[in-house]
Amino acid sequence: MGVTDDGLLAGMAAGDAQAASAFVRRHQARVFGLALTIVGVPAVAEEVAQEAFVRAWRFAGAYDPRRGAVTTWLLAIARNAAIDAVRLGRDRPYDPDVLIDMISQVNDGQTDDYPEQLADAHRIRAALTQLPHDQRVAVVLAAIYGLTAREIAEREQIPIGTAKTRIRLGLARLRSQLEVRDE
Amino acid sequence: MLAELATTAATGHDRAQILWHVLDCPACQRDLAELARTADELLLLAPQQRPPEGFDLRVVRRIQDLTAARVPQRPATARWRRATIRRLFPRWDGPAPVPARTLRAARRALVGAMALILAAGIGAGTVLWRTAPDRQLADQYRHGLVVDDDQAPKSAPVTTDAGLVVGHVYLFPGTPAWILVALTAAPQPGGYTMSVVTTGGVRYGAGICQVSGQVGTAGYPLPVAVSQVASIEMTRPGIRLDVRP
Repeated sequence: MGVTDDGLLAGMAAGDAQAASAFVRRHQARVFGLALTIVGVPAVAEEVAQEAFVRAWRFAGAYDPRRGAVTTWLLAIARNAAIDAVRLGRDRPYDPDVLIDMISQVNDGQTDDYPEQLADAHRIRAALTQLPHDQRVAVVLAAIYGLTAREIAEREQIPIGTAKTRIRLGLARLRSQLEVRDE
Repeated sequence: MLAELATTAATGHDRAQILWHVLDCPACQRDLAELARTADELLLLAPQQRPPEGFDLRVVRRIQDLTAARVPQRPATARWRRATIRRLFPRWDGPAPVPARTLRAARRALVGAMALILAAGIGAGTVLWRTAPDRQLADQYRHGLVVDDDQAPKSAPVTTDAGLVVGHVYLFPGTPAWILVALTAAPQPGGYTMSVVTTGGVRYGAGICQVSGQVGTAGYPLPVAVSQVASIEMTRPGIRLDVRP
């Protein structure tokens, strides 16, 4: 595996071009894939993915390994950058069923250089599929697409209180299931 | 409401209310940290996709360009400082050490235009401008729950001239440092122009807090470290609110 993610991130923050290049190559498929999932347009997704790496470089000093893996930290940055971009075209229709189907599929066709991350994805996907459909949709729309509770309520044509409840119950169940599996 | 904050589903006012409580509640801090970790793990489910050829080179080039822009270690002039900050924070209108009269006039015009756009709620770009720092702030807070004491967020009341508390300001250390203003009993609706005064007496513009009814929230990057903030002023015609961290 070579240099750890933390090491590459530190090297990138220090201005080491080789470390930066290695860090980008290691994570570019995940970051670009997430950006494309959210914004839906390859050209915009590339801009978002670039911005995510630049933000990671800029805020590398704020990364704390005690709070989570570099991958999830970086993906959270990418999600925020993608949400910023998609806010300009919020009228784009979302199809949660397609999204849910997509992320519920077994990741057969994909390779991952990091087996532990692939195992994490399988574990999370399995936990997500245990949620009731409504809660699954609400959690995914909020956590991945960055929709607010009000936007989810409008999209699903439900009261905002119901949207909030679905997010709350869904995320709590997901956390419980992941905790059980971690034990 | 912690789940909404953890997933970024909470909107500005709700977010401020949650943060207000969480700052003083260790149990909720732990819950929020765990929920945020769960929400972030969902991002691993997004399908991987190879970016266009040369993507890594373009990223590295962008970083190198930004690094080169940082080479002048000391900002020689206020203009250089403003240009640099605008390059680093392209959607943020600041910082602006007390400018010349013409600049103030231009700034007031810009502020007025922004306030109108915000009030009308028709500017998607303005939504971007307003929500991005807010979301980044919340995200930074979510990930900043475990911090050293000297890196812990600070809060201070927003008071009127008569000493009435009308809201709170939260200051978050980091790179950059951030400020979140939450007004809950503002004297008047409308835009409140915020200024940060440093311990060295330098004044910087720090954005606008738009108040609807008596309630408004706003989040912005700070142009200086939290430890350098001596006071914050929020003004609109005939009204002045003060914050002393």
